[in-house]
Amino acid sequence: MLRTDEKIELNEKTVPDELARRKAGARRTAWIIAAIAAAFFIASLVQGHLVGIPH
Amino acid sequence: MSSTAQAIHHEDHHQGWFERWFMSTNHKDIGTLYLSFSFLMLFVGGSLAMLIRAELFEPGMQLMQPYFFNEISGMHGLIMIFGVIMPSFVGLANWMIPMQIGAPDMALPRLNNLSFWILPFAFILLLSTFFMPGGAPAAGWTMYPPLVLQGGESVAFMIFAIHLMGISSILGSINIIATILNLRAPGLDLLKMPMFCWSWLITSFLVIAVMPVLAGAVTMMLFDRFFGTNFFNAAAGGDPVMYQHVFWFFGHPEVYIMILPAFGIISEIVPTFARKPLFGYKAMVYAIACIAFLSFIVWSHHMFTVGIPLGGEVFFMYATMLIAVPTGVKIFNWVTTMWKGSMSFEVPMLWAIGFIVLFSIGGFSGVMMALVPADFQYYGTYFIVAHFHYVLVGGALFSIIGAVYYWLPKWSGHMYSSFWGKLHFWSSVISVNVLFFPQQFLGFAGMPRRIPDYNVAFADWNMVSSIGGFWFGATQLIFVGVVIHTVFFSKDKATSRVWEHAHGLEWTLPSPAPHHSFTVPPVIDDSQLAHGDVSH
Repeated sequence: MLRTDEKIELNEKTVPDELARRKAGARRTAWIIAAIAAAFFIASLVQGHLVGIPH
Repeated sequence: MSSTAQAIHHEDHHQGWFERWFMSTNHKDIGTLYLSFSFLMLFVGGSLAMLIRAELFEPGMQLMQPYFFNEISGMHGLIMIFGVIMPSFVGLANWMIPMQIGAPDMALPRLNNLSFWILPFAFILLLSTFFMPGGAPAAGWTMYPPLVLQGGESVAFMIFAIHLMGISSILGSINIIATILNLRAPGLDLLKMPMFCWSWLITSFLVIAVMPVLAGAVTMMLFDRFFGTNFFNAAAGGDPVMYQHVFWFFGHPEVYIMILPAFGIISEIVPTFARKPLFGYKAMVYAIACIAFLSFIVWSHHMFTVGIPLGGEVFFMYATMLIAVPTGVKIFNWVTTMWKGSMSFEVPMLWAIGFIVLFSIGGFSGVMMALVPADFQYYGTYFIVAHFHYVLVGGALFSIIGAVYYWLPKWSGHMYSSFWGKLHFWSSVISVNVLFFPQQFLGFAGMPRRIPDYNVAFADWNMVSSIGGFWFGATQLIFVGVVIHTVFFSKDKATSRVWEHAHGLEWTLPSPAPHHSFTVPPVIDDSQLAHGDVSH
């Protein structure tokens, strides 16, 4: 079990690489979410063009 | 040294004024820009509200032509929704989310800069329509065709402005989701996050799902107006009601985009000043998720009178009433958090309690409107105007002001005058009721919304409402004074914790918070988390 000061020291050593890894993950997340947003936009146009809603 | 570490090192160098405020990638600076922008727009949109109330002060035409009244009614709505409530919540998210999850900054800082700087240009476009031939679009913030298509060329500028606002919101939400899912400090599980982060995570998914749908609706409108298509032209086989369906598929979740972050804020403030952990943390998270889901299946309650099939009306009526259940869970949990707590009534707590009372009034009138037969009476009246202003002013705006009073000492490193903060609250809470409560009577009596003149039978309550409006508007100048004094002139230093019972990672940072929040991820101690150990 590491003491708190040892944990912090370990953190400081691994921070830059860990942060870079997480930021790469964030970029992947961003592209996936952007693709979902684009899909909603296209779906609304397709719905407008093809379907309509009877009333 | 990795590129990330180099970037952090680089930004610690001194920045010039222009570089800091126009090219910043720092979450705090961008948060400040968002909040300053929305503060400015609050006074632009508020000035239009003052004009509306001045015109309605007494029957007859006083100050303006009816067409101009229609222009400022619609623009007031667009400015307040897209220029005030949404950007101020994004500003709060920018400031607080990295600090609350133990991250150094937002995950995508340059995208963050872009999402803010789109906004001023969008609003320059939108406001410029006032000076165009034919004036600004005058069909209300909902922009229903065919009415809006009868406007001048300015419709194109409004549509492009809405596209830009949508892009800004989507990019901001992408950043928030990426930050929360990827940059939480080790050990900070999702179900240990502060409620504000949870509320924004769920809100961001709403934004991602519905802003593109609004973009789709206005794109079809653009093509109808300028490129000869007939999506909404009944004479050519199109369907104007389809616009309403597409618009409200965006519009109802939009209502929750404007209130879910408020729920998060209130869930942070109430436990601090009740000196008790938040009652039912997990229930609060699930309630927000439940409200977000239900928001997608209730849109047609905005169009009961348009003539949808009876089965549809019944479905949308019951689905809408169902939203009262998770919302009731939230109100119950806030009240239960306060129950037998060691309550104190500092300024943020007053705004939080004001929120709970006023939002409940707005929520109850919403349940009334969910009933189809009753809605046929309420539809298009001032009762609707009173309802959504109770939710958006008494609810969303009160929570934003409460959040500023809660976190301003952390941001600026200085305390504000409690006297002026309390005066601001009491004057606001009384005047907002003088402003909007009479509008419920006017609605019951049958006064239609969006009219510049009215029957003399409505004169008295309109005068009272206008007096409340001027009073509420003037009161907000106190807020300007308090914020400016605290940031630039106050000598009363804030401690790092600021409030005696405040919990959460943001309170472990010094006040004012350093330029980068957590360059080293904090070691998570459950007792210091915003809502303690909630694993049981």
